[in-house]
Amino acid sequence: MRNLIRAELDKLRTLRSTWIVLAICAVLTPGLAALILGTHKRLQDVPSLISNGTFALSALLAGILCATTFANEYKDRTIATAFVLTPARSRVVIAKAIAAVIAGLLLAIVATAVCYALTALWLNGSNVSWPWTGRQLLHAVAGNLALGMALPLAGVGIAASTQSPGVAGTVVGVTWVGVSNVLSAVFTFFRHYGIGAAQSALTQPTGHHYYEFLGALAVTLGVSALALCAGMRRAQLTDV
Amino acid sequence: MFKNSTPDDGPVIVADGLTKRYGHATVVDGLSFQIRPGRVTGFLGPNGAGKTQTIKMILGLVRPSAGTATIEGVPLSAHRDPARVVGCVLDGGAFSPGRRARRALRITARVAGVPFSRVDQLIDLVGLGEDADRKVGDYSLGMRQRLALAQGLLADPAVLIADEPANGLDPAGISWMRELLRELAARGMTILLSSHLLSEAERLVDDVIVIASGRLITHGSLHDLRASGRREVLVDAADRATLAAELRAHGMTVTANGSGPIRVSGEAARVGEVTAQAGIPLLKLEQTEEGLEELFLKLTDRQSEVQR
Repeated sequence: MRNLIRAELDKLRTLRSTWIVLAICAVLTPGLAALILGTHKRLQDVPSLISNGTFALSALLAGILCATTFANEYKDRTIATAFVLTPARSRVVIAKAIAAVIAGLLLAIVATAVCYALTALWLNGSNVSWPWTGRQLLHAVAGNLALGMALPLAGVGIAASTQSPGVAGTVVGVTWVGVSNVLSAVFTFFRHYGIGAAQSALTQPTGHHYYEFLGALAVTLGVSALALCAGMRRAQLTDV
Repeated sequence: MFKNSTPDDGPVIVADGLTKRYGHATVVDGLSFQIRPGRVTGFLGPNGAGKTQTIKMILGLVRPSAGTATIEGVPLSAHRDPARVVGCVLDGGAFSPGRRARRALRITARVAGVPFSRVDQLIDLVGLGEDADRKVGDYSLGMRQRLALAQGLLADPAVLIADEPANGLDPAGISWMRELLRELAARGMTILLSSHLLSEAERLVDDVIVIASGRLITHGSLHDLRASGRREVLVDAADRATLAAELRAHGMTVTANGSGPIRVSGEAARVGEVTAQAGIPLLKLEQTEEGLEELFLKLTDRQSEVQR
């Protein structure tokens, strides 16, 4: 399994699209953070806003990257070689899922570090104190990382189900928008704080928010796990 | 079924009643055959005969509607280390076009648990040394086939299954591949290759499996198949009329069109004996036999007639 995971990481590392997504994230997430910092008057709210927007965007890009990369293996027919070398197809999909989670995690760590560092410097320059306690920051980072892992995981499952790069990328995006809309309808906290509520909920840790955060996180991870299971089943049954 | 098989060289690949249906269409219909070790077996059939589907069923890529396929006694999925059991060349060399060739092989090597030094060794073997760091998308079909062959041989498998491996290769490339596959078979590798290049297959294979419309037409050694074909002698003399009369007088079936050598059914030795006894000086005496292409067309035509 270790060799399979390393091979999947190699595949991601040796594709141009990975580096393009990384470059987009490197420019877009701090750029978006800087835009929020530059335009928003209540600087105390900025860390929450950054969590809501920029991290969800980097997680979504990671999800689309993993989905299209895997689905491309069906398009290029390289998946046949993978399944001959590893006839237990679920092992191949699990290895891809683990590689995707690692890639998503790295991207989320970089995006989180860059954006929060930028925000901290900006707030410091404006003589505004950082609005969160250390524990709240930790929770927010945990939420970012969870989202950063969940969407690539879903991306792998959706790719195995659709087996088409274009469709897989679109379904990842549409699913995330759909899930976040459902969450907004169900959880009032989501309605008020938007797509990134899963991360920012704990920054205002009343009991109600806490459970809504956990609920949102469980739904996000549950949908991702469901997509992965469906993808594994499809991969096992499909002739290639 | 193989006339030369012995208990010592039991079959490596066994297909037993392999069937594949898509809706009402049956693309492979109860196919059964065995492939002996250390032999090059040609898997022949017209386009759409079901060759690729059968190969994919053997490799576990397509689920049979009925029947089983085993490699070394069990389905490929039951082997602990499939990479060392079978290597394959499929789909005209399927690789991610944006990846460099050496990198693509290293990824496969990692999955197969093969050291990277083996990658370099195989890149040299298939003659891609100077192009190994180019993107596969820039490769010609022939180069991709060479790369696919290198990939198939990475883990030094006991069996190589190749679907149309000569596609896209130039004559020198085909000759090179023939030599390589012969060498691998001589070292004990079992090779199954599908091909529509019958003249090429004829020069390479030991055994043949011929299918049409998903059904087995014949299988056995190429030698036996050839022996079952028509054998003729081309014979010529200055006085063709006397020659033809003499041969007919000895009960031979003679076809003479007047403008070329006479065709006689049978063996050259017998024709030579008869003409020598009759004191007829010969200008030509040549034994001919039906080539694989003629036999193939005859067999597949017969199958079409049966279906009609």
